[in-house]
Amino acid sequence: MSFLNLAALGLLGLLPVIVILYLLKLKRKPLVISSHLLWKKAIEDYTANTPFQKLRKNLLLLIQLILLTLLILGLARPMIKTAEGENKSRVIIIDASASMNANDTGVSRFESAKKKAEELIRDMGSGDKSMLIVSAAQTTVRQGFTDSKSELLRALEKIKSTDTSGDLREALTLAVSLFDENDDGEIVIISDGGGGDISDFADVNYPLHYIPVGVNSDNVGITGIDIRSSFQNPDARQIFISIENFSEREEEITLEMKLNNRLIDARLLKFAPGQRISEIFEYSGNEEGIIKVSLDHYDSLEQDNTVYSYMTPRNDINILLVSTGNYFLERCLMLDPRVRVSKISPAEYTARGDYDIVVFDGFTPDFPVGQTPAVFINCLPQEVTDESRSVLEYPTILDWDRSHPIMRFIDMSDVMVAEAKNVSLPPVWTPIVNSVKAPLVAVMDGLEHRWAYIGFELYNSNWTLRVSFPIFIANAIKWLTEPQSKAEYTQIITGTPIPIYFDDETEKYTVIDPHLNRHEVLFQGNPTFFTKTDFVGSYKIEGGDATRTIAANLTSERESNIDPKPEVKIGAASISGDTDKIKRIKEIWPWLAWAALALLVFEWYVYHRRRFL
Amino acid sequence: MSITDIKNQNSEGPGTEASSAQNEALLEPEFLKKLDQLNILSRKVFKGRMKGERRSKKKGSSVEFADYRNYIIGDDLRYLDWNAYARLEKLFLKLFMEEEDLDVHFIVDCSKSMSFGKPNKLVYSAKIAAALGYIALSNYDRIIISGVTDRIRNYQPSLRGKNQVFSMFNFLKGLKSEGETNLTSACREFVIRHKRPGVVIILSDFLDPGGFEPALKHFVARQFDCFIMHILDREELDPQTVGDLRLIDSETNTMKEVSITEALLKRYKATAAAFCMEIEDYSLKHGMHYLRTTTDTPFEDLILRYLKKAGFVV
Repeated sequence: MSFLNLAALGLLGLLPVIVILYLLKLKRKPLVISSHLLWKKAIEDYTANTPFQKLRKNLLLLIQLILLTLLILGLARPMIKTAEGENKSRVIIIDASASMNANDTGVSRFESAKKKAEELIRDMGSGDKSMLIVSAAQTTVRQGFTDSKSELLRALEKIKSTDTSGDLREALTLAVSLFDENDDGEIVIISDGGGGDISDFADVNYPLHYIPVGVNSDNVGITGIDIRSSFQNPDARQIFISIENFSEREEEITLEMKLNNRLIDARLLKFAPGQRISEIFEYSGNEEGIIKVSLDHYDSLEQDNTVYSYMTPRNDINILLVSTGNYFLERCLMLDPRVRVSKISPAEYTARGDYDIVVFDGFTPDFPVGQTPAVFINCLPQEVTDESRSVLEYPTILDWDRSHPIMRFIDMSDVMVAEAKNVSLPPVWTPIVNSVKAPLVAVMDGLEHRWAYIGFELYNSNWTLRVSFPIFIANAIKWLTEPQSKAEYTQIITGTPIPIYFDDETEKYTVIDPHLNRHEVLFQGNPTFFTKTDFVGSYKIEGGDATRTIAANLTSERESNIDPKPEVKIGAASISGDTDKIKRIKEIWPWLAWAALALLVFEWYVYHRRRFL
Repeated sequence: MSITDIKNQNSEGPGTEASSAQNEALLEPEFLKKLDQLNILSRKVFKGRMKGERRSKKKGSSVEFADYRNYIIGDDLRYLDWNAYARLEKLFLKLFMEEEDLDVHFIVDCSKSMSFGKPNKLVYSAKIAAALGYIALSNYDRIIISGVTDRIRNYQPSLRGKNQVFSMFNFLKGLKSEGETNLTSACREFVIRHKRPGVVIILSDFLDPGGFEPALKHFVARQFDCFIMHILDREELDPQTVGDLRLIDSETNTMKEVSITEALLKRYKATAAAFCMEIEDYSLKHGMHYLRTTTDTPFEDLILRYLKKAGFVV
């Protein structure tokens, strides 16, 4: 047994004080009697015949000394070890993702998690050390290994939750890497189990423990927002909203859309348990400002009840099509009413930079394209050499990156390609649609420009006949033009860094976050990334000659689904929540307190019955 | 606070009454009339000096036959027993008991411990002595009163006859309780002073650190007819006080700190009872009369009933 508060034992110095007080003479009432003779005899007989007389006389003193000793021992917080092993190294991973803001237990899950982390820290035995890691969109070490409970508790106090998606995989990887060879380590994850699928994680050689938080799945959340031009009405913009009911009961909720805090539209929606609904708002005006779409509903998680975006004035997009002729391509390009298409033949092409997008259809210019966003269809930019010049016959589309903005809402499963270039693209290119041997569609998201590549002749495929093609073109137009415009509607997922481009005249930018905190961003390269995007809302970037507004939304189905998991699957192991296995020490002061209370009752009994002892 | 102050302040305990019996009339006239019928009963026959109303060891001319002796020329022929001559053909003279007076000694314990009680033990003792003294004087017995502590402190030489009653009363009323008890030394002095045995009536609480046996032995040896009046206060036999007390001995002024619990009280009562029983046993064993009383016993009942029952008076 050892003590967590050894200093309290110094109070044992009070014991002699009790003895001294006891030794001070009792105030006795004087009484004159005829003679001591009979009293003396009686006392002698009484003393001789009553056992433990001295003890009885001092019984109250003994009780009080024991009582004080018990109280002091309780203050010293004695503890016994309940788990084996000395000098344990423990990594505590706290999930700070958006779902941990759910307050289904009266307090938020995150506060519950912090409380449990605090218990773990206080549970440390002597020689043990702990580390605190926070898992959110970014994984950070908040406190390195230390045996100082106060340091750990201070670091814990400063940890805040975020509105971002969590990534337990990254946190686990980091935790495993931080152990020394000789550490007797263990990892404790405090989460609601929504940190992503880590069932394919490599086996961890350290004991894993999971402390679940959260009790129910009552949540309706907005899982998607997109703004695009209306195909039916060239003057209108459509706002796509995706909402899902993750609870187990029906819900009736009003969905509101506001522009610059002015209500534009509202809908009453009815949800069955588990139902997803998509709604489209249409806006015909040309007002610039912040779009806010919200659910008029109170549930466990507020962060996904509102999404933001930024409505920019309608600007035309000038596209130069360098082609010998491609009807379907032209038609698709002109679907977006903002688009103005200029068509020239390859021979007429010169490197003019006054177009928003240049589409090279089977033609690579002999000179560098420059910083203009471009689409290369069945051709490559001059910077990429095709040494093999081989082709793929009937390449099968294996997979495509559904998460890339250019591939949103696109299904390539019904697309067939007769012949495609068999090109090994440089690492700067990201394959988007893959075949066995070579990418069929790729993008390059450079520092100064974006390019897209389609590795086959459109007429050598049935893609132009598929609904996914015009969607691809619309996505491409949007994606290629996004970073270039300073006044545009822009939204990110919370936790995503915002790139800030500096020109020669601007030395710093100021970012105002949704909580109205101002952050200075100084030049650290172009672009400089602003990373403090942990919260839902609009971020205003001030500086230079323009102000940008970027909306950050949660829009994560994984985070909105707040159903707590009683266990997590890490690699081959299923870790269930069992806090008893984690406890290192057991404090025994409650037993001492009960014993002191019982002794106090006994002392009362002895004092009042003293006359009969 | 001094012990004197405590004694003065202690209005609840014993000993607050005046140690002197002066403030009380000892016996009421109506009560005295009732005493006229009584006589102190002595089981022993003593040799007295004068003719009293009591059998004496001396053989004289009373009507009660005592013994025979051989006839000597010159004896009174009226006292010859002719029946004995007829049987034995020898001449025997009848002898008769001579009636003489009796010395009735009163030894009154005047130590400080006798100042306790409600009523005061000394006052109570003085009244008993007055009553018994009256009876004795009424029967022409001689009374001698000694007030003792560690010695004979007050002494009333012999009084005889009813006309001495008020002298006796005055003496008794003048007794004061003071000093420590030492009955042994007092009784030794008594027996040295009084060689002629008689009746001794000892009125005391016997709370003598030296014990009672050495004191009473003096009387056994000298063949006094002893009447032990063991007088105690009710509080001394059955105290009710409990708690943390500092007991102050009224005679020695010594203090004893004691925490009185119910168990200790019980033990005390047993000790007190054993103490009384010890004196009683000793008394009976040595042919003494013993009567124990407490000061709350009605005085008339004591004299007219209990003393009769105990064989003190007839």
